[in-house]
Amino acid sequence: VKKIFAVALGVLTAIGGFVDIGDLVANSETGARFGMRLAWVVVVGVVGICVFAEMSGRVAAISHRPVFDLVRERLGPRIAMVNIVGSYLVTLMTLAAEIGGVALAVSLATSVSYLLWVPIAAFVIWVVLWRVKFEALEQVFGLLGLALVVFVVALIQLHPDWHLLAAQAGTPAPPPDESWWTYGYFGVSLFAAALTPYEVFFFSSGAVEERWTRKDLALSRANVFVGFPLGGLLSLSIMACAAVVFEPLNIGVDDLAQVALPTALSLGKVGLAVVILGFFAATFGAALETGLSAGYTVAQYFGWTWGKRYRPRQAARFHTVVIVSFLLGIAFLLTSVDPVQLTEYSLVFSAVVLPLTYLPILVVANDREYLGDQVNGRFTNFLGVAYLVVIVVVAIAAIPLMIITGGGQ
Amino acid sequence: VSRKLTVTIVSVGMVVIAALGLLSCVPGGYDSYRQAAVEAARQSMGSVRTAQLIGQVTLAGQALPPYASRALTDALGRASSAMADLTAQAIPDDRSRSLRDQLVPLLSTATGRVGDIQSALSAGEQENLREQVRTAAALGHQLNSFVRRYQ
Repeated sequence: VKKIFAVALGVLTAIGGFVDIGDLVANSETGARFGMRLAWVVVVGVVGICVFAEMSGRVAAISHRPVFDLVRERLGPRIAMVNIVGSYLVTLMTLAAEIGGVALAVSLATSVSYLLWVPIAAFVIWVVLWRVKFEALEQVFGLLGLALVVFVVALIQLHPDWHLLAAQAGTPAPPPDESWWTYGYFGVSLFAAALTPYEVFFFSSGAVEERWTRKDLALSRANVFVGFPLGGLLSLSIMACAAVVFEPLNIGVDDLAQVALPTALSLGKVGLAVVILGFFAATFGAALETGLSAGYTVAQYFGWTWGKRYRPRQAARFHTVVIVSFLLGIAFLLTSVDPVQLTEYSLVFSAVVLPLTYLPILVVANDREYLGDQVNGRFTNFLGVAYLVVIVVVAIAAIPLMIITGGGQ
Repeated sequence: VSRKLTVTIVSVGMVVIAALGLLSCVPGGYDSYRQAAVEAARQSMGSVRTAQLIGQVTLAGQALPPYASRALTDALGRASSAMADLTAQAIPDDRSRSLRDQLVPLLSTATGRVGDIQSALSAGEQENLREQVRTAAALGHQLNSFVRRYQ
């Protein structure tokens, strides 16, 4: 019973923790402009994150070292440096976007400008990160993130034309008033939202923090293969809500208040309160994860003591990186950059650095020196290589598409 | 060889991106202005229709007041920036000028209408809010017609 409870808890946490500011923004914007015509990208992205998260969880459980600790050892410091610079900068952008997301969620509940909430939100997130144990913060915010299931209920209550949604999902092409360029640009954003690099850093390092062993592989796989796809369903329901409410009216989604509007229309004040709680939990949880991931990447590259397993005094440099990352995130947001636009750009740059994250995982997951009999099988390698090709294409296309479409306009 | 290849790939990539960037900055003719006008109209229409929906859920007692207030402030900001984006565009010819003369009054009315909905909501004037929502719907149709005609 204890084991079943642990698996169920892990799966629920994975579902609730799947959605972050990138998923909220990208899915809602896409649903409003393209209906369900890009739903297939979410499916492709979720399968991709399952493949690579399973690999990195396996690497951590067998070697007891996170993937990026091994990257430097396996690929050398120069290649690993390229990896770390790209990944850290994108994680920093994502951290700023998540802090902005928390401030926006509080702003929706108070009507006070989000800019006033930014320093307070960042400070509270940092205090939680400093004081609360790893497992507790992962589970609490993962479970609270389940509030976003309200999008599924809202979708049902909106009584959509299911045949139309299914027909759109089966039409992988832009509607008549959109170009292939914008279709490609939003496809790239959605793909990057599903495969955000910090998710792998956090999953892999978290496995070491929780001292996973070979015995935990089943739990890891349950989290990945059940939790992530169900989290992907949440993403699709956000997209579908926007497709039902905004697409027929030709309304573009540009802020978090609009993302919440379908729940207010279908479920009233209660739905609205729950969705704002869900926004708060999802962005707060993701801000914790990205804050930690920023520290993980740098500390693991330089071989410093890292993690919440150690007292802050023992992992001082790790915690310094985390604090500096938070301060940079606050400074960035206080330039009054729009957090939603920041999220859009962070997704594009995430797409650019995706190969730097996923190629090393594939290399390490095939190394018998680290994994022994648990190296990738043929099928996993087939999927891994196929995804790597897609990831490289997406990385090459991301910036040209951003320029050609003027950021998706 | 591998270093040369890396330098070549990176250089080609940077040249392509720079070329695309330069091309996107070159001032265009009527078509470029038309696209900017359509984008502004679309953004303004989105703001008006969002304000209309917020007004409707408020009238139905389905919106939390802080949420409605925040959502309308955001909608007002977008409506204003649609106007600012269009007026910042250089006008290349007479056809573009005629397009601007059609659209600017609509954008201006849209900003005013979203502001009116916000005022009615904050003052708790139900009848006024209902009237503003109704006129916002009509304005939304006008903006939509503009978008359909010129996109």
